Amino acid sequence: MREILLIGNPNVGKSTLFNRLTKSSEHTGNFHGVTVEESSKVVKSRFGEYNFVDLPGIYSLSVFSNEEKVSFDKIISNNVERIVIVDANTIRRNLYLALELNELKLDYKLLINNYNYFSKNKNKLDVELLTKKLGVECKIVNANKVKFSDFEQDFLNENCDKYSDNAKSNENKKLKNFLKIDQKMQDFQKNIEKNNKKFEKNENFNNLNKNNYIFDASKFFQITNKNEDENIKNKSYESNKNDIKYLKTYLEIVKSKTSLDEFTIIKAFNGIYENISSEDKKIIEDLIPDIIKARYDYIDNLLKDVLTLQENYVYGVSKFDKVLLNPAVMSIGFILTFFLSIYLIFFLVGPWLSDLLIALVNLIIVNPFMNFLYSVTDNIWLIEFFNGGVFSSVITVLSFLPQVVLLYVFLTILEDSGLIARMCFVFDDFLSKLGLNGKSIYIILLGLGCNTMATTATKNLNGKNLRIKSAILNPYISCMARLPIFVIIATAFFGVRAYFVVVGLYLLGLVVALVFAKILNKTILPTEAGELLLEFPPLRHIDVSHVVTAVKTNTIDFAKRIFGVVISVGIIIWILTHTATNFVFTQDITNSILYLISSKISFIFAPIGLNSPAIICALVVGVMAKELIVSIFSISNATSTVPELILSLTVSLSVINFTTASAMSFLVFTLLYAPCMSTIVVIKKECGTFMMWFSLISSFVIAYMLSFIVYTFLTYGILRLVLTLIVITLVLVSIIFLIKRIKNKKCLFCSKRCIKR
Amino acid sequence: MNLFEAKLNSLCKVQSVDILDGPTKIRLMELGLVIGSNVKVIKKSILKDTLLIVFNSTCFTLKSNLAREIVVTYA
Repeated sequence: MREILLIGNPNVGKSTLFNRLTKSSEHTGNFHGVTVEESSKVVKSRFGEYNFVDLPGIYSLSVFSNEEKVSFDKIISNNVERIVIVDANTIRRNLYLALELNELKLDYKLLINNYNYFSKNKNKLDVELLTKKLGVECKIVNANKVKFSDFEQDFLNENCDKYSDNAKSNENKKLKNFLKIDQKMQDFQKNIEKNNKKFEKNENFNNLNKNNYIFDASKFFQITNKNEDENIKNKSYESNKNDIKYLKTYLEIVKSKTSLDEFTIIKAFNGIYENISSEDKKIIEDLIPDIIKARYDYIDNLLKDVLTLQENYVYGVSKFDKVLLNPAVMSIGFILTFFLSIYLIFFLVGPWLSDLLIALVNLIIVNPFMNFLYSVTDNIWLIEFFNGGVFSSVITVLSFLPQVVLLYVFLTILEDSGLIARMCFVFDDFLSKLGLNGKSIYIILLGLGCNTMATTATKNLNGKNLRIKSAILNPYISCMARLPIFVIIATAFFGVRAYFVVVGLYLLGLVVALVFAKILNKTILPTEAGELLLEFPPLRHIDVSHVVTAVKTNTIDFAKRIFGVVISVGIIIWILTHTATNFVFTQDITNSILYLISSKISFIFAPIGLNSPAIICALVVGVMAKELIVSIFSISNATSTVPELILSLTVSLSVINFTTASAMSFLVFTLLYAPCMSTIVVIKKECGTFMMWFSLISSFVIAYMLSFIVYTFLTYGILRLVLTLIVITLVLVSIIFLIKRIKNKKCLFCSKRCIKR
Repeated sequence: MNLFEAKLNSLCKVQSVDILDGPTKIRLMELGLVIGSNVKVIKKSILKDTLLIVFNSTCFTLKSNLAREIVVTYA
């Protein structure tokens, strides 16, 4: 199987191409650094089997961030084919990476994407001449529209029908060209490996193999420089058409000052420091700025006759940016758009679509199945199991599918349009004061959809503390899974004001996240020397097909969660809520095992008005997935539709019921108390175990404190709240005082160290 | 003058990049901000903490602390 790497700068269309070729649905967007992890997929055709690998964007082989390291390791690995994707509009910058691959003699093909936009602006690129001058096959591709069969024919192999059988034996001449290894080179390599023990003992040879670095005869020849064969000599750096003459001066400088060989030096010029002492490394690093300059001079020379740009052509900004980059316009515009969307999605269009969806599901699935069940059995346990355990939990969560779809449409449009980079610029000032930076806006926006996805995306941020801080703060941003809870409870208790309650909760989550960021920045996670270097993509028309694909993917993910987690956990919860302590079936949930367990810890939540064991059970299970909270509500109150559930929550005879104060307290607690299990796992992966526990404990404490304030205020009024807070503060201060005294071995009652006496 | 002090929309030529943080300096240069290249500040954020600049035919946002360490002259 052939492994094909898609390599390139950020936001050149690698993931878009990957999705087209593999029929995948990897996250794409008009923003720098959307892909943070390697993803791969195998595609089989009648001509062969290909493992396409989509790599995070990389500007050069000098690695500065985690996702660049992922790409770097893969690029220099063995037995891979490389396709470098460049954007025609930024080709000068994009060629820098290609040039580094040339220096290291790594084979690749060059695909030029986004050519339509480029040529529409009356720019020209002579692809044939570029191929000739660069010495690498270059072709134009439209990553948005390319088909796999065409791509295979045009880019992977001209003789694909013969490739799979002949590639390994290298008998076919065209295939040999494709692999860029001619027979003489192979013979030479075999000769080295089999017969020449002197070469095998050569330190450079061993180093190459030890480091799993791509070995081919040309490199070895270049290093040893002992073979007189002219054909092989032509492959050496000195005479190859993709030469590195522009590096020769720097090579000579390093060679004169060190004992390093040329290939080791070339590798170091490209950020690969192997078997190099710190003194030698310093000599090389001092030359790097000059080498970068030399590379750009080479690229300029290369593009001299190839590229014709319109005067003052700038890729990225448009006339609309004069308005969009105004902070007031951007802030007010975004806030209004977002909250208007929430209103339309959750309170106007969404409910209507929900009713339609549920009516269809009942008509097609639930009613026929239940009618069938009634006709074949009168077992009350079985009927209750399907009615209350399976269908009611699923339908309640499924009711929100249309809203989730609509919200994803909104977020996808925002991402595709190029607005996110503009928001990063506008909000960078403000976020910098809190120890974050403009890119954190992207994390926040992703968090509105899914906290897990947003936590993974923190890899895109530079600086360890910034990454950890963003990952810890992200769960305070309300994800979609929490929205059904907010909408149901807010509608039940606040009627026409429900919308403002939901909006208030979003803002509360954001404020808590930002205040906590400031506290962390001042205490345990100060941000390293601030830097924001962010490419500015152009504003783009929305590609409807891409929006449909992205929304479809996210909807399928949501549906999977419903039919996977919600059904399985829902069944377990139903069994636990319908099994009495003597292990017999019960319809009275207050006699159930789960009720008994939850009642044991209900005292912890009593001060925030949540002392019902069933509510506590919902909160505990909600740590697995927030969708389950609504599901448990539905099972506990034996309701099968959202309106029924909303009504039941206000009835004091229901198993789960609230007062207005406890409902508000519950909403605040649910917003802040803990991320879902998958987010916790990602936080652990990205930030370590300690920070995961810190995140969990801190979010629980913050949620508890704010819920307490809300509940006390709404139940007893401001005076009681203030008095309670004063008492709590005094108690806490006293405890801290005592701890400090004991720690310093001082007497509790005087300022002397008399405790030992 | 440094890049932060440059007038908006004036074409400048990079004279030197004196950023002490090595990786950032290298990254900026790899993106095309090399000595002799043209750069233009097209927008400053409200607190002037971030600049929107153009170099190498592409727009970038750049923190002011970095911009202060890039010496330019008007082209």
